[in-house]
Parts: sequence; structure tokens; C-alpha cells
Amino acid sequence: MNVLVVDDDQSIIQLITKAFMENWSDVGLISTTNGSDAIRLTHAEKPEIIILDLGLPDVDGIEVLRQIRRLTSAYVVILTARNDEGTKILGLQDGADDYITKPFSVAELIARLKALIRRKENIESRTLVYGKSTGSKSLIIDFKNQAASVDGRHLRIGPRQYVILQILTKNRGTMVSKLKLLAEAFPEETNGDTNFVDVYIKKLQETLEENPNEPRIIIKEGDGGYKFVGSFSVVTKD
Amino acid sequence: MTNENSQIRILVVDDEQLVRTLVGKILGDAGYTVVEAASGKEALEKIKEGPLALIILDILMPQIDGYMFLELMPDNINIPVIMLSGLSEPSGKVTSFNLGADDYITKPFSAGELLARIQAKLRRTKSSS
Repeated sequence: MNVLVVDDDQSIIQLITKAFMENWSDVGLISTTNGSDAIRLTHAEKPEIIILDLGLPDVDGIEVLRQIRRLTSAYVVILTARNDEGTKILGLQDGADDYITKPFSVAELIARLKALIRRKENIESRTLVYGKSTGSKSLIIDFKNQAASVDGRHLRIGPRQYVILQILTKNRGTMVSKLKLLAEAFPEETNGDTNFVDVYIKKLQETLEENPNEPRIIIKEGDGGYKFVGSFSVVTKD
Repeated sequence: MTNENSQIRILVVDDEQLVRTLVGKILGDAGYTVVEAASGKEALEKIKEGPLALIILDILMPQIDGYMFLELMPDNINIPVIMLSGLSEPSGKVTSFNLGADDYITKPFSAGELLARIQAKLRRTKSSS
């Protein structure tokens, strides 16, 4: 993934570079402190993501954005001290995918970039995912990194679902009570309402099962709980 | 622009009627077709009822809140979600993005920025369809 950072403040470039290096292992990062170089580098290096300051010394950032948009459909995130509504609207209308104002939280910047990259990958892989044939399936769950896939297809599973899945797979073949699942996945729910567990299990079944109406991986055991069964292989990386 | 937008259905999820009405008016004036849900549970039903282009989602709602809704959204739909919340702390934003949100706007919000952010998200999904 090639990323271009454009900011006249070297300390911001360093901060973003550090954040990228800590969060992505496959980043090729280039940077510049001025607008003309930003346009030249966009043309020459073809970055997939551009983080763009607006207060640049030579060309105004909005003009840089317009010129960049003539060259590429790369994702552009404006990162600027300009906080007025008019500039935000102008930036977003002229082709920016996101607009973040300084001072900014690095954690929020990273979370927003991850969301953009997820959407980008989702759009790029949509045809592949839906066109994929389903033969022998392999369910892989990486609890440490909270990632799961079937035959290489990434599954979208939230943190509470991972907790439930972890307990069920750890007790594979044995019924786990709804109350236990409730206590582990929803510690804040102290009123014993196990409807939450049913709703989350249903979602897990829709995600994992070939036919969620006839589940073969996570099955209900009476009214008391659920059991993880089935022929899927589960690989847990600790 | 307005006629073109009328084909675009946007789901507004908020337990406060006042917010749903306000956001619905902003989107309606821009030509979008608005679908409303007063809870996360109702929203999960609404997404089964027909194609949606985008979801505007509150966080603090009874029972199934915004975070739970993000976790419970079916995998096979790729609808961008913009959080619209009174929570302004970075941690709430980070949690939302990590759970699958695409954008986050803090209340009180400006109509112009809301519409510009919607257009930015729809530009990407439209160009891929």
C-alpha cells in the first residue's frame, strides 16, 4: 500500500509515519511539504491513500485536491487546522473521502484510515467474494487478532461474537448455558436477559452457516444453551 | 440532483423522534428517500425490507445500541454507516470505526457537512456498483 503524506509541518509527517509503521507492515510511505510536489508525486508514485494538509506554502490544498482528482481515484483524507464549515463542505465535495481537523487524535486518525481501507478492500473484492465457489470449507478463527475467514473469505465478526465463539469452541461438543454466555459476553447486563445471547448467536449462525435455518455448526440445546459442533475445522492461533 | 437522489434510500436510526425528523427533513430536502427506525432492533428489520444506500446511526439507544447494531449487521450487505452521536470522545469514535462504521459526525452537526459526508461515501459505493 502506497501512502503519500502532504503537510508543511515535518513533525506531523513524522507522527503520521510512525503511526502507519506501527499499524501496517506493508506500507510504502512518501511525503512532501508542498503542493507542487504532491501533484508530481501523485502522478509519479500513484499512491492509494493521500493525507493532505490544506495550508501549504505554494499551492492551496483545495487546489491541490482538485488537481489530484484529475489524476487519480486514490482515497484522500484532508488533515487540516481549517475548521470552518465552508471549507469542510468544499473539500468533501471536491473529492476528499474524509476531513479531519487539527489538533487530532492519532487513534482516531488510524481508526478512520482503517475504515477507509476496509471499504476500499471490500469494494475491490466484492466480485471475487460473491463469485467464489464453495467446495470444501475451512473456518479459521484468529482470536488474538479477532479475525476469521472461511476459505480465505474474511468474515465480519464483532468483539462480543468473538467472545461467544471462543467459549463455544473451547467447549466444543458440550452445551454452554445462555447465562454463562451472557455473563462472559455481556458483563454489563446483570438482569439475566438472555435475549442478547440469542440475537448474537443468530448473527453468528448467519455468518458461519451455509443454511442458518438449519444450523450445523452452532446448534441450540433445548432452551438452556448452545453447542459448537459440525465438520468445520477450527484453527485457533494463540 | 434531487430527482437523481430520490432513488437513494437512507435509513436514519435514532431513538429520539426530534433527531429523526430533523435529519429526515435535511435528507428529504436534498431529494433522498428516508427510512426511519427508532431502535437498533427496528433498524435490523428495516435493512431486510429493501435496498439501502446508507445508514445514519445513533449510538446511545435502549436495548440494541449503535455498537451492537454494527456487530449485528448482516455480512452480505455493504452499506456505508455514518455515526451521528452526541458522544465526542475519541474512544467512542475509535470503537465505532473498529466495529465497521465508515464515518462519525458529532452532534450538534451542520446540515451542509452531513450532506457532504453522505455524498463522499455514496460517491465511492456508486462508482463500484
